[in-house]
Amino acid sequence: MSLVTTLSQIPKKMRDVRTYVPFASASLAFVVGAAILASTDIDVGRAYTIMFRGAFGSIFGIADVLVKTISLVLTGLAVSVAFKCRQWNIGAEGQLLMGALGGTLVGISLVGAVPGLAIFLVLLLSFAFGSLFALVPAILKVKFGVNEVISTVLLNFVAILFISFLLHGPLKAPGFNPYSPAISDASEMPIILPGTRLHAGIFVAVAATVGVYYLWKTKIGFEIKSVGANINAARYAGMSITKSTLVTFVISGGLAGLAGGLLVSGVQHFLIEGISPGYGFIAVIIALLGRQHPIGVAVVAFFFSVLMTGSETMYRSLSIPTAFATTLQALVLVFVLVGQLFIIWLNKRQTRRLDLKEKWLAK
Amino acid sequence: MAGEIEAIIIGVLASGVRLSTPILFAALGESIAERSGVLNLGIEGMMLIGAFAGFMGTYLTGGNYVVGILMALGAAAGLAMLMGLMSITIKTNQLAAGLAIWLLGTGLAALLYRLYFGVRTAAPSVDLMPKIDIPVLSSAPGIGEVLFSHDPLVYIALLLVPVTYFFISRTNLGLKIRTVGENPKQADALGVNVDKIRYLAVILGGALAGVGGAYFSLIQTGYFLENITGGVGWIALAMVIFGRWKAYWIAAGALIFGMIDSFQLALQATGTNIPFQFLLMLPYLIPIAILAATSKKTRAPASLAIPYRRTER
Repeated sequence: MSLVTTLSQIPKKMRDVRTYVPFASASLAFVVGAAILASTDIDVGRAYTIMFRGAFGSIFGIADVLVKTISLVLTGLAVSVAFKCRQWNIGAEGQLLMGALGGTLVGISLVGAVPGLAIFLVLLLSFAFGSLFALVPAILKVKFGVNEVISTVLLNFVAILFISFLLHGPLKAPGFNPYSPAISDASEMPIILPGTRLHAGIFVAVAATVGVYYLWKTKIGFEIKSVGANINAARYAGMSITKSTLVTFVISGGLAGLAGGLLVSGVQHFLIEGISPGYGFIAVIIALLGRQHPIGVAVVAFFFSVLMTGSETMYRSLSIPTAFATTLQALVLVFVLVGQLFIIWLNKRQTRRLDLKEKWLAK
Repeated sequence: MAGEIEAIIIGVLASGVRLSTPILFAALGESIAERSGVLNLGIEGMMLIGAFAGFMGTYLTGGNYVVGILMALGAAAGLAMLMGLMSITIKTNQLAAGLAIWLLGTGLAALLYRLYFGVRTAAPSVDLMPKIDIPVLSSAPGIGEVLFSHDPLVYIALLLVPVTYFFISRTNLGLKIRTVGENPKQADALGVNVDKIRYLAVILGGALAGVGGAYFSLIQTGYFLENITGGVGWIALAMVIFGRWKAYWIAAGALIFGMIDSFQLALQATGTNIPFQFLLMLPYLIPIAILAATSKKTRAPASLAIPYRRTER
């Protein structure tokens, strides 16, 4: 068998350079990241090694990566469900915080001490709180035509301030710090890998990923997606724009709320300000890079979680600020988008070549 | 007693003018970009980069504000160019491109500040840009303090309102920007380079956002903080819609907003029973309320957020 026939057996998509452009572009982000670090006399090789070791060097590191992946998958799915329906929900951070509040309320109440029921109620209420908070911009949009990008972004600040108010006032546990009381043991997500922080919330994240995958195959999923794809065609087909918008935001906000509930129930076990290091914002990048596909979202979320976990180790051992991870994540998105330039160039070259071939054959 | 109340009111109004200044810069800039058909959601990121670059330039030159402002302008314009590359040349979804720029600017500003200045016991700071009293006018009772006794950027922002109006509605370039935003095909047929005009508008808008960002570090605080702009870029976006893309209306929106913000800050200082968090929510809730009241009546430039593709051959 000659080399040529072997090559031709590889699927066409895998032989196409264009498939690899986004990955090549993404790795360029790390080169820029290295350049930024190098500009301050940091040993870049050592920094990246420490980053990698922080994430994969120990069982605790890997568990931490998975714990953060839970939050990133859920918020990433939340944003991508909305984006897929052309609803630009940038409010996952606020919806996550409201979900965390819902979970906390269950956890510190009497029902929160009932084994079994407690976990169920934590998940239910965190989903509901996230949904309800997401309904605000949804209703403002369908009733008053308020641009949802702006309203959802601004409502994040409102949620942050509201949580701050609660933790300094009605929800404050006795003592000096603005913390809520601790939730009951029955409301805590069980640890599934003893000695680490990995908790059962990972099953929720997996279920949500599968759920979103099948959501698009259901009638309601098809409907909300169609409204996003072509609002006029959907209206002509008799679909309700109002209903679709509301349903989209309920699902989206609920998923973000779940992420918040799991942060309380699985990781922190009480509510604090800054319980999320900006998961809801990183989720925007995840949804865009994952092309709103649940598998894509899960893969990018895992990769980003590695960056975040590694970046924390970089901070501890080299005092490189954790903003390095956020910057890298944004850079990856920018480079993948700019990488399209190369694809456009490849396409142009291809058409030009085909043109020449045609002309030559016509002779 | 009456004199005291008068002094308080004048103080609140004067600080309202100062609080509306960064919004004015960002919103006027954004209106130019949007008039050309590019929805730039990245202005919050550009403002943060401007706040950082402005601070660094001023700090490193030992208090040279001109260098600081120029660096803010340049850094934000650089991000705007990247925005242009994605949204105009590559024709990526403009919302995605803008969000990417927002998060990149936010991350970069925080990262570079921490890397270059580290964590110190006392945050490095610059002296605040001094006030310049406009002769004669500043001594007018009441109005003098409200309008004519500020730092230079306030005057520049206020001057930018008629300048932007004139630029957009009365100049040849302004006409091109509007045509490109309303009907790029026609503009192209008339020989206008659509992409070039859009790049120009986005970069101009970004540069102004950068100056607006520098206002926080050079005038309001004297130092840099992560997320120092606190969402003002997004508020500016709301003001552009409220102002229907017209300079005078945008200015009116920004000033009203500044006054309300100043009022809630004054209320906090008096120590009311209202928890401060609820007062701090006002700057975020008011733009939403304003949009709810006015959104249905506005009409955006026809080609806003639609990349222009010349039909090939």
